[in-house]
Amino acid sequence: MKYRYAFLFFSAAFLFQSALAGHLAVFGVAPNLVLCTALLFAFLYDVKYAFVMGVVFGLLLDLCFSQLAGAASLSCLAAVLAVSLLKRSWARDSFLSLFIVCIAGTGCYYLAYWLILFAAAGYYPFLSMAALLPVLLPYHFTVMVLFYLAERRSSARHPQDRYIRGV
Amino acid sequence: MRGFFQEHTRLTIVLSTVLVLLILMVASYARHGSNSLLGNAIEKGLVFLQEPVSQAGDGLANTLRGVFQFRSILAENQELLEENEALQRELVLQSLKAEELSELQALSEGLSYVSRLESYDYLAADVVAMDASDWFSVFTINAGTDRGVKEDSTVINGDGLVGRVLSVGTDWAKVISIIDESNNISFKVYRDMSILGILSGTGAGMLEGYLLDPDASIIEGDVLITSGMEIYPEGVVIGTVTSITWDNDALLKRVEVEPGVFFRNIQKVAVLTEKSGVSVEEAAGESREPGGEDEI
Repeated sequence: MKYRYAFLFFSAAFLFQSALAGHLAVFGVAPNLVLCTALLFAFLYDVKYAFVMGVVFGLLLDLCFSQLAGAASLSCLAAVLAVSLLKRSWARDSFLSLFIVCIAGTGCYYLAYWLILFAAAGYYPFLSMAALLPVLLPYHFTVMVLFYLAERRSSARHPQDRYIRGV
Repeated sequence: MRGFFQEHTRLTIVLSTVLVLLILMVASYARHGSNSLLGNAIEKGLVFLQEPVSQAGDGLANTLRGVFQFRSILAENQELLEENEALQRELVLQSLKAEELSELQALSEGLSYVSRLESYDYLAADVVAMDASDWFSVFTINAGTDRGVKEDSTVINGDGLVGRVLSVGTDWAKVISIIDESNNISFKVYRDMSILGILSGTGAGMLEGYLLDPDASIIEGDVLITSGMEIYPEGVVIGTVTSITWDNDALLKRVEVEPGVFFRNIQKVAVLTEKSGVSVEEAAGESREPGGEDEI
């Protein structure tokens, strides 16, 4: 995997997320495709791709939709670091691993995002953030599984045998 | 110290990145989210890419909707036909009052009265990018300074007040919706125009606020409109009251309001721009009403 391919994937995720959010929403909740891509890259490939692209595209998301630049970037960074720590002890390719990565990464991202907004931008109800997760988690997992099924054959010949060290 | 950073390169990179992002966050907080020149240039480039994707998505969604919701569209069409017939009959009745209306208009022209809303043009725009996080409720439209959009211009649609322009470029504008927590709106009740209050977003897609007069009689189902005392012009629908509670600490009546606009899926909006040659301030200054304060 090279940076230019990672850039293409993240660009597609950013465009679909920003331009089609209304059409992708289920029960009024739209997926965070940039986050899903960052978690996938952090788990399937080297963490540095997810780190760099997550920070860059997080900044773009803040530029477009936020009054506070850096919130999405820092949250994405936290999620990617959480996944890299998870890989030290759990690096086996499987749907269960992907599910755990999805939960840990999504939970980390939205908790960090809420903390930053709570500290800097005003009061945002924790329950409103938590209410999104029951719909977001299955949605993110579905997106990640689709990508995983498409990329699994090219990422490793014997997925069950691959052990990758984290950061 | 230097040796530590040289030995732990990755940690150094992560810490540097976090530091830079924190500095950016503080700077954007101080500027209240206003974009720099670089930010505006990046936003312009992004809108150039987002617009065709958004239009393609809207086209595909409308096509699929036409295929899978054929029966409901047929039923809706029938309802609209019946409504049209009723409106046609009403039009005939209204035309009998046209002469009376023309006399009133001649009177208002004679008194040089200009309604505030008549000093606005309505500029249609498409939403090309939307926030998926649900928290800031910010979206981007494909109209900018080249079409007369300015910062703090009011944005509406057929259902009511949508928000205001947060920042603007040549051919794009960032709009912050009324359900964002940082937005405050002064309102009055449509049923009784003397009842005033202040609303703000809850961060959960609803609005809440309080009445200035704790004894005011407001009921669930009351429609709230803008009061015209701030950047929003008077008379734009905000939403409907869903609950009323008494705040013992502040001794105020608190209201919860459901916005008139469905913010989950906005595709088209209208921006109120000043009519060329007539500014809102000039319209307000030229208004002369009999028995007004100027004539004391």
